[in-house]
Amino acid sequence: MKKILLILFLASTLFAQEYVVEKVKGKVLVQKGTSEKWETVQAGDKLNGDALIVTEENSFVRLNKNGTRFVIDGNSALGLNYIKKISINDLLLALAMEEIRNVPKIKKSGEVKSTAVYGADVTNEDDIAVLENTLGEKKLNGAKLLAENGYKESSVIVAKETYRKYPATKKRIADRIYFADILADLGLYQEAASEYASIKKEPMTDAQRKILEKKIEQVNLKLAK
Amino acid sequence: MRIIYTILIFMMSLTTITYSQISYDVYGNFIPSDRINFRLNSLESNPGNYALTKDWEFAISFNTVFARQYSTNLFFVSLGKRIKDHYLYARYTPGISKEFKFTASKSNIDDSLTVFETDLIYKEKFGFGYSYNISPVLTAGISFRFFQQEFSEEFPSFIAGTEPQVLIKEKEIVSKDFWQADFGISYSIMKNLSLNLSTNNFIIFGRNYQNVEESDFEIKKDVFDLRKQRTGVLGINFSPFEALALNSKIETNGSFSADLSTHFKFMEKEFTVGVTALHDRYQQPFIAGIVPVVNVANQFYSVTLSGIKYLSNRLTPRSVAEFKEKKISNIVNNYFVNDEVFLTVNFALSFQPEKYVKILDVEILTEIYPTLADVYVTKPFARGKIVNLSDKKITVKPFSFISEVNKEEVQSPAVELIPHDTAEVNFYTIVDEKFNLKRRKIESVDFIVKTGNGEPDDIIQKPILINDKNSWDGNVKNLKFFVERDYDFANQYAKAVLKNAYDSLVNVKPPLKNFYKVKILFDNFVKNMQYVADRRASVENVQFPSETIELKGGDCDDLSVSFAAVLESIGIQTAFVDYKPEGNNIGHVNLLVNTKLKPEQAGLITSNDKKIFIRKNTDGKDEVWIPLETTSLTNFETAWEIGAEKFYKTAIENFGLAKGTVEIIDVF
Amino acid sequence: MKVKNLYIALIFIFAVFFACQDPLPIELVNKENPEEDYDVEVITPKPNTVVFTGYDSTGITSPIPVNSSVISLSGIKNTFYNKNVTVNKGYAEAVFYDTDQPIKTSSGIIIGYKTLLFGRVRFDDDSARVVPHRIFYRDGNVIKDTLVGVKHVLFYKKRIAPARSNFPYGKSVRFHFDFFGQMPFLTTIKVPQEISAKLKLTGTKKDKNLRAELSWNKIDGGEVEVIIGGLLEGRREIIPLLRLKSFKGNRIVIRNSLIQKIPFEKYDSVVFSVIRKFRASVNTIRLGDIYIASQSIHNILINIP
Repeated sequence: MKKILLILFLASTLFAQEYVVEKVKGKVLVQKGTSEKWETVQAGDKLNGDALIVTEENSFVRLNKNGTRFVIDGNSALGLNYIKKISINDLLLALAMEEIRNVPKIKKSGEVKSTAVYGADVTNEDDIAVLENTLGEKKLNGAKLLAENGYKESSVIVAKETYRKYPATKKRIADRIYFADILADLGLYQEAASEYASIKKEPMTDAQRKILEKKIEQVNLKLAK
Repeated sequence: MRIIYTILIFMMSLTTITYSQISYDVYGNFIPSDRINFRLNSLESNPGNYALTKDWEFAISFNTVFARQYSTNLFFVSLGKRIKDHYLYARYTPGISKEFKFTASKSNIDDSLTVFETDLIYKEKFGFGYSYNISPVLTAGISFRFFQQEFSEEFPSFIAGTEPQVLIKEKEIVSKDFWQADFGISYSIMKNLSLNLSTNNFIIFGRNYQNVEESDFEIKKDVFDLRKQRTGVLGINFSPFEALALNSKIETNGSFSADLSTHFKFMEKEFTVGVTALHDRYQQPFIAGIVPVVNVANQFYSVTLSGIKYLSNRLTPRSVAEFKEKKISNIVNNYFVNDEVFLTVNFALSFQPEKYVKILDVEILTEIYPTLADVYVTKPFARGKIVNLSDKKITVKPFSFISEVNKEEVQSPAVELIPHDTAEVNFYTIVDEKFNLKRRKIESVDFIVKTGNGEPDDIIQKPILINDKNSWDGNVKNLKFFVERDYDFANQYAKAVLKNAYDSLVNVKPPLKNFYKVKILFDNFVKNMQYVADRRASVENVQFPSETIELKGGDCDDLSVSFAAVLESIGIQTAFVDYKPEGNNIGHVNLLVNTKLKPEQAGLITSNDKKIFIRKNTDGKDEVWIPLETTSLTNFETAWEIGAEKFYKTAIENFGLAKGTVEIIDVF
Repeated sequence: MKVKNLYIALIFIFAVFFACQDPLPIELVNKENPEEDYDVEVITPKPNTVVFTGYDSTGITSPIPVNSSVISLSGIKNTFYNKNVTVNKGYAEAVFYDTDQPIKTSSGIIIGYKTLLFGRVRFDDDSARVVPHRIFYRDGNVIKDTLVGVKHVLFYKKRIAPARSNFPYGKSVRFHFDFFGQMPFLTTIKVPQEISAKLKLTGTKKDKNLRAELSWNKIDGGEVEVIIGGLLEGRREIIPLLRLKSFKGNRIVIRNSLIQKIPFEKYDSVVFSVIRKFRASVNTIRLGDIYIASQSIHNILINIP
């Protein structure tokens, strides 16, 4: 008996990050790790943090992890590893990565030895197959879910990454303001301000602009203190 | 090389020690001070024969004898040269010469009174000295002096065989020359106390210096010869206070001398004043004479005025009987000579350029990794501390030369120094392109500082570790040097592979061309490739791309470098991903490759956005990069998947990029 | 810099100038060596002059001044150095010359005068015998002799050493000249004390370190002179070479330089003669200028090693 309990206990620790699919409604797909494969999610499935769940419209899935429940609504996409509390510090780190990741602009003289010219292949705009970017929208929705469930910090990270990978999502002004607001709510006024400033570059309606301006004003006030 | 002549006039040695009377020196007893480079004057008084001259020293001295008639002569000229710890000295002493005359007998020859005289000439012609600085407190030396004795005696001679027979005055001349060799050592017990021991007449040699014939002629016997009594001399120099020195010399025959001296600075000149008292076994009274000395020097000249004043009447001639009994041991100072005054001027001549700067020390900052050539152009491989020895502002040019690595001296940036200032100077180097060391070794580096165009002011040598061409300092930032090494080889390789795959590429749409090239190249690259742990566990090694491809194997660094080279050579941008070692994890390196696709085109290559990484290029445009695990030698897809998994987890999810545990280093 | 060079140049000139001066000698006082302080003369026989006149071959006298009359008394000791034997003898002699009758050599140089016989000579109570008088003179390289007349000679009894002759050393001798048919001429001649000399010869001619130390008994009165000469056995004559006189004491050193060059090979022995003598010149009406000499002679004969 004790042996069984021990094994169960060990098993449970091994799979500490295991999410159990409690309920599925509609079409819910999962992509595990870096696999290209999309699999259907069914109740009773066990999923790790490396899983990406994508729900169609009017679908949802309920997950249970060690007693904590999480519902992913329809038209959302969410990587399960993001369902966690992330500290403000880590959030700031993540925001910092935005710049670190880029190719350094200033090259110190003497370090560049090669005269390699990149971009020898000229991309022809007309040849681009415009890919479905609904995944981007879904990801934003998933991010919102995170925020609604209290995982605000995490949600911002997801949102930021989504903008990067799915550039079209950058134009979703309302969403962008939503997430920028979270930053302000978290007290990260500087970051909120830069986010607002970056939103400003996108095309938007006058109404949206007005709202944006107000938000900017508010955060500037906060900063001035 | 221009030879710069600098004439610095230095002080001369106020000798220090007068030896006693056998080896009397005309300058009294003085300790040479530290401030001034003294030539311990002459061979009489310099047991260790050592001097602190910088290079060459020339001295000239005149003396005036106060006899019934004053006469002034050239006393000596000398030349000294120091070569590192050796000191050589030579002097010509025309002034060490005394002539004694007396009437031996008188006769009437053919009705006229004829006087027969005996003439004795004693000369010390020249001398040489050599000494060696054994340690900072001990010097030893040897000297050789050449003496000439010319005696002549007149006598009446009967000339037979002539008609008429006559009686005339004839002269018998005898020459007795000899060499005297002596040695001495000087030992500094403390800063203000030193001892010296030396010999006098230790070895006398020569062909005919002894004539002990049974002869009528007194000059042929040793009646008038210089007394060559062998003695030992002990000298003590003690300086109880800074400005006071007490010295004494004691000879084994009972003669001794004692003196005190003082020095001070006045009007930019250094003054030394002192007086010595002599007691000679063979002279009267007990204190036979005193030797006052005054010396004045500044950096341009040095003048010494000294003399010997005998405390007995030296003007009335002494008897020959007394001369025979006492004899003379020292030509300059003995019972039969008069008071004298000496004037000496010293010059130090330096034919070496002045050394303005000295290297205090040099610290080697890093080993040399020859392949990482550019590193040493931007970062110094050594840092030195230098000091300006002069009184003026100087510009110091540092040079370094590492044998095997440099073909010639490499000049590093110049540094300006105010007088007597110290500063740090950085040494950079350029690794010769042809460098091809197969085994690491320790070489010596010459660190050179110059203030002019001629001889260096100072050189110091330090050992440095030169690694072989494949050595790597572990800094991923420096892997690019290995990448660019075999550019041509990689280029040829890539082109050959792509040429073969021309058919598969020809129909690929332009945005995907890079992606497919990477795929084709990688699949080819990993054919027959094997992962091999680092060859030498102790030192990181990175193969050149050609080596990896030819050896068909390597570790994560080698493979990443190699594949990066292949891609870069055809214009595909890459970056190293440095997974820094953490705790028990050893570090790892793999690649990020730029597909040049726009983020919205990512779907063309993958449906899983964990497999891509968006980076802004230098123009501010986002591009899709994909991670590749180069040690995954199966195929491109696997390598991409594994690389992406590691990258996403470590760099993104765990905020590795932000925390710095993962670093992206662009190759170029 | 240029100024310094000038200083240096000046110093060099100065130096060279002074380098040429020699320091002055220092005088020492020599209480002269009294043993070597004497006059040295070469007895240079003037060409064609008389070497000696008519005395015993083993005696010698100084060159005779040209006087009308010569009276001499000589006490002679001959010591044979190598055999350590001494022979004593003595004689007195008187010769009267006729200055109107000079004797000339073949080249016309006067070497002497013919003698006169006009009375009898007595020394104290002893009469002198009249014997032929020959003089020897040097003519070129040859010694010649000629009979010039007669002389009065008295030989004191010869005795072999150690006994002395009764030569009147230290005494006064009365000289009588008994003129034929006239009043006699009298004068007193003082005779010096006997001189005894000691010779110490060291060294060899070959080693050039000959050295003769000669000493004699010190007596007040009378001058002492030393003559070094060579003896020709065959001819029984001594050739005088050097005369030493004006001594400061009774001891002299004769250095090698003086005797080294004597051509000893020409002679059979060397003679050191130590002579103490009194001399006087007297003017008389009847005998004219008389030169009187009385001497004690000690000859030491030695073969030079």
